[in-house]
Amino acid sequence: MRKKVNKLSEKVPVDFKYNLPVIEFTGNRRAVIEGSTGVILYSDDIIKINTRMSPITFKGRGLSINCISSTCVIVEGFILSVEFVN
Amino acid sequence: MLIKLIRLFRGYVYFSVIGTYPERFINVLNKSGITYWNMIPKHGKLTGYMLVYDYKNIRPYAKGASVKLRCIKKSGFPFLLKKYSFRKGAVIGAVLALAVMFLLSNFVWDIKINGRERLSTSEICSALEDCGLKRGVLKSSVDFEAVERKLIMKIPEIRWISINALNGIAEVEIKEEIKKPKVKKGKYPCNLTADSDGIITKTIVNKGTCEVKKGSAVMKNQVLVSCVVKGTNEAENKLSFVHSNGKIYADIEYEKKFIIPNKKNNIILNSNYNEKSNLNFLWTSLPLKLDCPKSEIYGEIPYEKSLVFNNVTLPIGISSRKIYGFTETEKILDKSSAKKLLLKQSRLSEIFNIGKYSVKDIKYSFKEINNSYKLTSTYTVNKNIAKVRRVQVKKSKKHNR
Repeated sequence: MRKKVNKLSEKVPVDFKYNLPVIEFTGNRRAVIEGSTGVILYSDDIIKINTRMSPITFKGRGLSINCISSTCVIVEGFILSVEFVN
Repeated sequence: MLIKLIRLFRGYVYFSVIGTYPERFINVLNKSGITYWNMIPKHGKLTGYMLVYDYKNIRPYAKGASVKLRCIKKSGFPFLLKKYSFRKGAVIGAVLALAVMFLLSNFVWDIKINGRERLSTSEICSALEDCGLKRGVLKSSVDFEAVERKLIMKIPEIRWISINALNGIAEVEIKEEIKKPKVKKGKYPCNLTADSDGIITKTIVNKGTCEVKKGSAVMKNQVLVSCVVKGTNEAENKLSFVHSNGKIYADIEYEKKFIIPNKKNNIILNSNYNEKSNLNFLWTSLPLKLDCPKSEIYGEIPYEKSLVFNNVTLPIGISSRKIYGFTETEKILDKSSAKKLLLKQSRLSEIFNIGKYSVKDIKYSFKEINNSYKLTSTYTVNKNIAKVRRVQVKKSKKHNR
């Protein structure tokens, strides 16, 4: 029985299993963050977004939030680095 | 595009968020489901757009996030309406104009006919009017399918019709009937008979047996060329029936009588000329002049001018009538003038009736009979008198054996 449960838990995706955010990049111009809980810092060179795991910092030039909802944020601009702060 | 239109219609503001943590304000807006767009950081503050309705309700959130809101620009229809609210007349006028446009678009103001070839526009228009489709009629009161059916019944030359009423214009698409070419039936046996009495002057027989000679007198319906032909060879010494063909010229005499009374009423154009104009607007017609024609007898020439904009006839125009006055005078005709008048009539008749034939002789006899004058014209004309008359041929049983 335990073996069966373990096998099942292996099949479940990681983001669903640990409640992690999903980040999708389009080159370095666009990033879609699913599972955000809010914006911590918003300026044209740094955008810091809070997630269930940890805050994520986007650094770059001419950054802006294209679209925002309660769980999803789209960051656009010239992204130079992404930092996962713990 | 649609979203932009909706935003413009509802009205929106361009505002800035000033404070230590404007991000907190963004989070609060997201949680409360308030829509905003183009939120961009600019010179240490956030600027963005929001609908007016939402902007009115976000003050408590701004207070909670300890930020200050500044409205930079207001755009949209509600602000425009507020700006010009003191010009009530203009607003009422605009609304009225829209209402009138909407109301008038329910009527037919112009009828366009496409695809006609032989039929005239006036003929089709008058038939459409009889069927219930005319200028100024309410679109909903016209059953266009019924009109189409009626028009096809009324004008048989129309093969197909479709009426499309859009924006006050009724477009009538027509396809006319293609006429069958006349097929000459020349194979049946027939005689050539005389269509009037006369004396034969010339015979040209292409097919058939000529029954008359030059100089012989013939009577009406007499056979001139027979369809019965005998074979030339002994072996072919059989009777055969052919479609007779030829021309038989004869001198024909006929007379025509012209009578006029010795008292004649003449109607002469006098100096009383008047022009009556009416201003047509929608269904109404207002007279521009109130003068009446002075003469008892008068003739009218109507004409209509309508305002045309972008090839569409508008329901505004002027219809005028040129009114000419006439006076009636009684004239007693003397013998010479009566003769002249009758001769004129006779010559006019000659042009139309016997103009195409060669006239050999004309005799006029003029007489005065009981308050009238009479002219008898006797013409001698040379013309083709051959007329085709079909012959029924039945094969007898004995002959078949």
